[in-house]
Formats: sequence, C-alpha cells, structure tokens
Amino acid sequence: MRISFALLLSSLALIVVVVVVIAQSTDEEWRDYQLEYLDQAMGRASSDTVRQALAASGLEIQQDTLAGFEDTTRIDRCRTCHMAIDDPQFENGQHPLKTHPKMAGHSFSEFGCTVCHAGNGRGLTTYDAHGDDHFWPEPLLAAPYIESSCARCHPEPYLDETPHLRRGRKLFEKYACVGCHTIRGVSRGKLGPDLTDVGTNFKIDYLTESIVDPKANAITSIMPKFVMAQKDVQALTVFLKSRRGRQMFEDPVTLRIKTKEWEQEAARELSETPDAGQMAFDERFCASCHKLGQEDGKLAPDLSFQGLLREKEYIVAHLSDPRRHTYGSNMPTFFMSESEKKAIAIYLTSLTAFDLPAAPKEQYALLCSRCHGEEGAGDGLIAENLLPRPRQFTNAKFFNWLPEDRAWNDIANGVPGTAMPPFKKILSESQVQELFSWVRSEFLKSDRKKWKRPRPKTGANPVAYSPESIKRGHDAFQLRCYGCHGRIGDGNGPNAVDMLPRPRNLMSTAFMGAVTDQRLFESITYGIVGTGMPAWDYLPKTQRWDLVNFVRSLSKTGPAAPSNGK
Amino acid sequence: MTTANLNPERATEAVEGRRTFISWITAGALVLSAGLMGIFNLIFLRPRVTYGPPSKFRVGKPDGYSSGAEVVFPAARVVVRRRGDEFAAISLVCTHLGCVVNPTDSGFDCPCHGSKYDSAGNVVAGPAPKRLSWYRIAQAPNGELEVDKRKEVDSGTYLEVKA
Repeated sequence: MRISFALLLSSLALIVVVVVVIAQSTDEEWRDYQLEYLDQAMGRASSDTVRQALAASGLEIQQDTLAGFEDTTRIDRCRTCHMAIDDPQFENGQHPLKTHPKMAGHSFSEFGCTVCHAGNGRGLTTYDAHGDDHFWPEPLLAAPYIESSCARCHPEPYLDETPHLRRGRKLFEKYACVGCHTIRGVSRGKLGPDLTDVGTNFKIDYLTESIVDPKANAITSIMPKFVMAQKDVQALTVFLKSRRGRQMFEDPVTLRIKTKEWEQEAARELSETPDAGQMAFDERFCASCHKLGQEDGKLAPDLSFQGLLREKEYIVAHLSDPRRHTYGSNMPTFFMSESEKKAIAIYLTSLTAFDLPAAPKEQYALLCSRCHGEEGAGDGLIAENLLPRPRQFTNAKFFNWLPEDRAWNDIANGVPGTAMPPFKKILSESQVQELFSWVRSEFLKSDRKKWKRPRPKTGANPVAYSPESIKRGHDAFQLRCYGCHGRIGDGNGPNAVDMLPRPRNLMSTAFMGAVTDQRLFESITYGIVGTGMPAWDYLPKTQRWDLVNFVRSLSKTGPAAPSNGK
Repeated sequence: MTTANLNPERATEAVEGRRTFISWITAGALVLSAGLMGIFNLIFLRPRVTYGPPSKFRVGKPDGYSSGAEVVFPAARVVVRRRGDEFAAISLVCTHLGCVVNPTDSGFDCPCHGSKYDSAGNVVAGPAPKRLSWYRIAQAPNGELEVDKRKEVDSGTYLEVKA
C-alpha cells in the first residue's frame, strides 16, 4: 500500500517536473520582445501590406549569416530581440525595440551587428548575447569604445566620425607610448609589451586600468603613471581597443610584405644643429616625461639647464641605450639615427641659461626637490621612476654615518650610473658644502655621532682577481647575498621589493667603476648604516675579499681601481 | 487499516477500490509525462535555425524595380518580378536536378539538360517534372520587400504594393 502511494506521488512529481522543464525552456526572453514588437509595429505600420505581413509572421529566431569577415562564418542573432533596428517607426522606441541610427553602406544582412558592437552573436539571452559572462572575451562595446571597431576596416587616417580614435592615435605618440611599445606599422618600442593584439586580448576595463595604474595588474611593471586627463585615458583606450592584430582590410600576404618593408625602414637623418635637435625633441614628445622650461611631463628629470649638467657624449650614449647606460632607468630606447641623437645632444647641451638663487633653500627647491622631495623624504615628483631611488635625507642613521666629503663629492661629481647629475658647473665647492649643511640642518633632526671605535684603514686587496677567487665569491654570494641583491646581483632579490633604500644593483658598470675596492670591502664588513645591508664582519676576511672580486666580475669592472666615473 | 497491514490477503472491498484508483492515476501520470516528453523531444529534433544562407531575405524597396523588371538574386537563386504594382518571387532552381535556370524572353531555360519553363514557371519542355516554385513575398515595416523561401505559394500569386 505504501509503495503504491510512493509511486503515485513520484509519478505526479514527474509530471510537475516535466511541465516545469517544458515551460522553462519555451519561456525565452526573446519571445516576449518579439510579441511586444509585433504588437507595437501593428499600431505603427505605414500600410496595409505591412500589416498583413506582420500578421502572418510568427515568433522565430532571426539570424544573419555573415561571410568574409574572418575565416569562419559569423552568426549574428541580435535581431531576434532587436527587431526594430531597421524599422523607421521606432525612432523613439525603448531598448531593445529601437531604430538603429543610419549607417550608410552598412546593411544589417551584410555586416551583422557583432563586427562593430562585439558581444556574442549567437547568444539568445541578454546575458549571453551582450557578453556579460566574465569569460567571454569581447563584451558589448559601449560608446565611445565602439569607435575602435571602425578601425578594423577603415585604415588610417581614421574617419571623421571617430574623434576618440583619431585623438587616441595622436596621444599614443604624444605620451611617447611609441617609445616602449611596439604596434606593427605604428611604433617599435622594445621595453614594454607588444600592443599589436592588445584589443583582442583585453577588455576595456583592463586597458583603462593599465593606463591609469600600470602596477595594478603587474606589480613589477616599470611603466610610469602618466599624468593624464580622463578624456585622454578614454581616447587612448579606444585606440588600444582598436589594435586587434591583422585588420580586416589586410590580407596575410600583403601584410607580411608591408611589415617587412616597415621593419627595414631606416631611421631618419637630421642635420646636427641645435634647431634640428629642438625639432626632434618636440616631435619625440620628450617633454611628456621630462621637464623643459614650461613643459613638464612630471615623470623624468628636468632638462632645462642640461648643458650645465651633462656632456654631449653622455647624452648620446644615454639615448642609444638608456638602460645599459643608467641601470634601472625606465627610459626607452627610441628608434633614432646617430645624427638625430647627436642633434638632440647638441640642443640639450646648448641649454645653459640658469640663475642660481643665493639661498640654499631655493637652490634645493630648484635643483634637488624634483627627485629628493620637498621634505627631503626621497619622494620627489619623479622618484617613483628612478632606480636607485633618490636618497632620503630624513634617513638620519645613514646621513649621520655618511662621511661629509663623500656627500660633497657626490653632489659635485654626481653618482655615476644613476640619475644624480654632477652639479659642479652650477655650484662652487663652498656652495656645495653650504647646500649640504643646509640639507642636514633642515631634514636631519639629530647630530652626527662620534664613532667610539674608529674603523681601521683598509689596505689593498690581498686576494688576487682570479677565476678561483671569483668562484669562491660566487658561492658565498649565492649563500649570503642573493636574498636582496638577487641571484645575478641586479638588486632584484626576492626581499628587495619592499626595501628602501633598494639593494644596490651590482651589475651597474658605471656605478661600480667609481667605487674603490676598499669601499666595497668596508661596506661588506661593517654593513651600511640606515639601509638593509648588515655587517658581515664574522665572515673570514679572505671570503670578504673573494666577494669583492666576484662583485667586480659582475659589474665587469675587473680588478680595477675606480675609474672615477669615466 | 491495521488488519490490512497485518494480512493483506484479508483487505476489504474499499481498500481494493482505492488501490485500483491509485494505480490508474499513477499509470495515467506516467503516460502523460512520457507523452509530453515525447512530443517535446520531437519538437527538439527539428532545428530552429540552420547555418545555411538565410531563407528569409530582403530584396530592396519597391521603387527600386521598374515596371516589368525581373531582377535576379544569384546567391539566393531567386528572381523578383514586378508587374504593374504587383510583385512576385520565383525560384531559379530547376526541378529536374537542381541547376540554376537562366531567365529568357519567353521564360526560363535550364542550361544542364534543356528544360524550358514559361514566364510563370510552368514546364514547357525537357525533363523537368514540376513547375518552378513561387515564394511568398511580403513588405517589411521599413518598406523593403522580403522573400521567404520556406513559404511556397500558388503560381501566379502576386503581392500588390500601393505606392
């Protein structure tokens, strides 16, 4: 008896389930829209013939089959819900029953919808079709981002109807994006990722985020945070979204030929005059990062009086390969001929107009604060983009330890291999000393301590610079030093990320060339006060000298005495 | 109830009646759900859309046709004919072996095996077994004409479009 009751109940439940399943799978969103459309269209129809046709039409999936856009056929079912897109009676209708704005030459049956609007053409619910699913690569493009789709078929110069795209293209050069990023046919930067395909691979939000905050998705990114208005970010995003690999008007063969030609194009030659240099400086938009006169990109050093700071050879070498010349620089190598580099160097060295204020406070504001910060905290406007980071004058431990003559020397002669330039053409010896003592009195709240036990003088390196010694130094380095200085000694060890001051990049030839063996040995033995470098005085003396030799081999400065930054 | 539980052999007449009733309902419910599922599965067997060329397509505004014009749509294999204010769509697929027929002054000629049709699509000569299909033509809300190849109409059915 009970068993037959159970059977009865379950068979009734089965009926309910079947009915619910059938009801659910036939109750589709688009049926409601189509009913609504037919209902409204009847009222708005222009003639009886149309009314007859409407009366005869049933509910069905409307599909456009589009060939010739990609290798596969595109299927767009958008018109299943958006039935009124070509019905002129629905100009003032509500979405989805709204007339599409006139697009001359683009018929719906030929172009479909998703070629321009993106989204999932096969979807039959709003969620599917608009690509709202997180894993759908191309969600619906809203205005103005839809302009990016125009560039898929309409090559440069971009259409007048796409102002954001046109602007984005210009901004890509204006913000010197071309320096770091490659876009096939547009730019040849090597420092950042290739952006030829970026529009295919990333959604609008990601692109915008990467411009506004480059470190948001890659903590190790060295891309600077550009000072950019909101509408510039938007225009650049439109341009980046339009980069979807091979454009639809290009066929693979002509693209390959064109790309080859473009790759082999030679850099332009310029006459080596200050005027040509100035023109190049403006056309390269150097002031998008650097400061020169009134223009200021707020990301890189001030070049307004570069003639007083750097030599022509230095600038040419820096332009040729900034990152080899100054380890840790995030300035890209621009695609320039030798003559253009020389022209820029000639122009920059011709800038020698500088009025030195008398008061150290004003001198500091003009010369130092851009990097070291107004409060001396090493957090100046451009400090983020410099490696090594500018010294923190508030680091009392370090500056109370740092011998004064070394500080004076660093100000007068600069620190080779870093962004610290030599100021000796601007400041006299006494002015340097005055400025440093002002810095000490202003930012350091404590006095210099007397060393209880003076350090013994370090003699010459007793261990010969030999492969065996370097090998021993290497072994010790990989045990003791890699955590901060990194396996290859570039200062990027696993602990380095949140260390300030950052561990020294021991591969920097320019910097290490100016450091004596004695200073290296003392830094290892006693550590460096006020930094993360501990004292390693308990290591055997010969091992410390082995380390010195190994570090010399890293920076390729050999067994040498310092070259004094030459 | 207790006696029935203890010894089902001695179940009363009432229990017997209820049992039959329950088994009928149960069987009915099962048959009904099986039937519903069956019908629904049959509906699913037929595709709602296919990936071929669309069977319903627009052929432009009536103004685009001069009176007496015959415009061929090669991809759709259809000819649209205007006669006065009336329109019709005729298939261009030969009913013999599916070649595309050519419109001529007298009607349609098939290049493959020589079938001939008159201007209404009726077979005049050759191996073709049937006349050419006429498709339903209608006016879409934006004024364009729309041919629906899934809906065949009687030969000589014209749609009158008032200007």
